[in-house]
Amino acid sequence: MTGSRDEFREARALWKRVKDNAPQGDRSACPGPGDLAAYLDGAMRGAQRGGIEEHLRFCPPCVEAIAGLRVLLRAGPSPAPSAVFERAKGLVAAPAAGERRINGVIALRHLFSLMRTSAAWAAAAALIVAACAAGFMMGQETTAPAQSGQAPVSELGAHAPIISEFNRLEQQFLKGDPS
Amino acid sequence: MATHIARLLQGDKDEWDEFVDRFTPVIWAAVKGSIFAHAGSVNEEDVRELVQSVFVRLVAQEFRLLRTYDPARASLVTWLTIVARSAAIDSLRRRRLQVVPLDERAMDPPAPEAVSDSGIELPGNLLSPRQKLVLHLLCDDGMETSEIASMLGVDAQTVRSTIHKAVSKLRKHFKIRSLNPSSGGDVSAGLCV
Repeated sequence: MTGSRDEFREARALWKRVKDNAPQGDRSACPGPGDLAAYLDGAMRGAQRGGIEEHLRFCPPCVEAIAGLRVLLRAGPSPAPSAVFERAKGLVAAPAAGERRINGVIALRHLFSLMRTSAAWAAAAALIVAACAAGFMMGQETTAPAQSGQAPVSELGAHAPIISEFNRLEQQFLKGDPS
Repeated sequence: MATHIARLLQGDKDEWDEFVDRFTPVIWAAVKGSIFAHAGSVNEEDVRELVQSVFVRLVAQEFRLLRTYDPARASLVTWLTIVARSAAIDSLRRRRLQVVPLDERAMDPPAPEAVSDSGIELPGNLLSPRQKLVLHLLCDDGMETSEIASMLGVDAQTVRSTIHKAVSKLRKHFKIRSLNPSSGGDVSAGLCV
């Protein structure tokens, strides 16, 4: 019968017999916190778990540790005095004034970077304006005799796409979108 | 959790404060429980100091210890419980050494080896590591099935079943050997020890 007193007695006798005829077994090093945690959480299977359990057979301190840890884990957390929290929090300091200056430098770099992008857009815009102005002047020179008396706004007609593109770029620039 | 830990390891103060809020009760319980289990009583001031020492261990050398935690392998609660228990046991051990006079310490027997001499090699891995461990805990350490179950994180019935399977295998193994003259006799002679 499974788990009967007789079976346990038989188990002891057989186990003694096994030990009496046995050579030295595995004497591997004790598992570290990572392996122990994985074993306790049931994350180990097969050979990994077998390796730990093989070790446990030869290491009473590890058996005691695992039994004790199971008890602690079952009991769960318990409330601690507030002073304990505050003291532990003090181990990692909030950014000091010097560190804020460093943060300020990083922020300035960000700003310069933005300005570089902005400067590129400003240069592009200036080129477009210059191109428009040059085109406008040339148009005036070639068409002035024939178109004298016409409203100046109609003379911009040929350059309207450029001006429209400029306006679009200008709007993007003002919105800060470099695409 | 991995993201929080990654930010914490970069020295993020807010993450650290959150970590402390969340896990101080875990570390507190582990330290207090470990001291009680080993000393039989607990001084709250000792627990406070030890909990702080656990946090110091975690942050020392730019979180060197905390960096060894692998979220893919185990929960942080389990890992921290192990670290906290280990700190508590170390401290008790150190305290014991401080209290014991030097001449008595010299008379102390050497610390028991972490390894006993109950090595067993059965042909073809007859028993699984778990079966061997259960038999060892039952027969050598005198543990009850409920204690073994608790230690292994399984129920008592599983332990009884493991013993049953191991006994069946051993019975069969020694019976076969007993038919061989060089095997060393009939197992039944030693059954009712």
